[in-house]
Amino acid sequence: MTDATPDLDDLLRRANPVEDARLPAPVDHAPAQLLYEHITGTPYAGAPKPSRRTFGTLMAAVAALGLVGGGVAYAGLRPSKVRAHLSVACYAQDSLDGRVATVTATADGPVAACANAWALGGVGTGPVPLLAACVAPSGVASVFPSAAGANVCAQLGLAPLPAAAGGAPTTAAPGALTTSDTVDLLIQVRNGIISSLQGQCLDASTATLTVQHILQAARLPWSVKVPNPFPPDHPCASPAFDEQNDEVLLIGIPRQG
Amino acid sequence: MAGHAEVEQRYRLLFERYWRRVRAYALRRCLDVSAADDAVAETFLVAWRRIAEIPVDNELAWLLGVARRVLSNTRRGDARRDKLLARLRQSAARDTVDIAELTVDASATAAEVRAAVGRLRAGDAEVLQLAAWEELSHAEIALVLETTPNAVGIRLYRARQRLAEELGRGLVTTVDTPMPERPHQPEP
Repeated sequence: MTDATPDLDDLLRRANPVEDARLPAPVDHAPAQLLYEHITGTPYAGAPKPSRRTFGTLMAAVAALGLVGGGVAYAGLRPSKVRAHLSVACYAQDSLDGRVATVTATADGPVAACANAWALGGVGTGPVPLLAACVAPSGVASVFPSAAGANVCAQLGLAPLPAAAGGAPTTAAPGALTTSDTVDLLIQVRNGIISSLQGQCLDASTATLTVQHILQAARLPWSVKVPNPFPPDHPCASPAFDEQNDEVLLIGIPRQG
Repeated sequence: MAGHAEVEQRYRLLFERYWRRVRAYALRRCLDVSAADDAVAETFLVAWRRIAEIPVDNELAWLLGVARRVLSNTRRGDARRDKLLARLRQSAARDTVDIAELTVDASATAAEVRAAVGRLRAGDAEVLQLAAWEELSHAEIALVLETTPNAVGIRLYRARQRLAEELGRGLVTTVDTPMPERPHQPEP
């Protein structure tokens, strides 16, 4: 069966009344983020790119230090400590400007978390490539596709993810990484809190006590906050994890099911 | 059964990847920002509830199939959906995009083609739009329309012929309307 009008498809394509690219992505669109939060009951985390501005400021600081006193190695100023353990940035290309998907950290480490996201088609297309884990200027563990033997972190001016944080000094096959006690503990606590609150409808004060108990049992110096009173139609506590402030936030969501 | 974290992770990826595509689809269908955003909200609410049913290799087509049913107003009486839409409508964060600015090609020819598509039977217009504007394969269109890829091929062939005929007529008529004025309703 052949097409009677070969140019028709092209005509049709150009008649498209709405070009996708002219619409904002969720990360740039407050209503989309609000929708996400209303549906899931958790704050929108999106797929933020590491701040180029922060990186630029850091490089300027490096240059200034070099001029003034010298002797401060660039590598010493690159952030090498992961400050956000519960999220991982998975990059589709070996570039900080490429598409990035933010995924929840798993006990298997950042590379395994991103390998899983790749396999689900959430990062890039095709089979899961060899992946390398670095620390982005924002302190988020960031995973990039890498050629065998390449030192992607160094090419991008980033520190490699320390093995203790679930990284490896160089590229490694997905799933082959170790995890640190810190990451393990955080993930266990997070999972414990989630499983304690899901499947039931706890009010703010009961949920606060439950979460405090879990945090104390794990000797994790985090606090619990209820940023807003629960509306009557959102009576059930749902947790969100703010690593920058070491806080578990409790948000009211509708009854499930 | 996947845990909460896994479910949320998959949903977040789904939302990040397809929210814009689903919104564009809804806007093409109804050309009304409020109605389109309501449909998108409902589509992603359904996706959250039924995430385990979404085929990993056909997520977009599944979402568009839901959006299509939402836009055809076949789903009613859903209290949580109504609450969600009410809350979103109350929010100050509603969008006021000008659809005319989203058009790929504002030329008279493109306007004439859009008008010709608007004059087709709804079923013909829909299958053409899914192929040309959503850039779906026959298999994906089949999932959206709940039919077979073979049937999609036949419907596309006939729809193209009808569009060519319609455009032939359209060339000797004056087209004042740049875009279809009414949404295309799916075939019953």
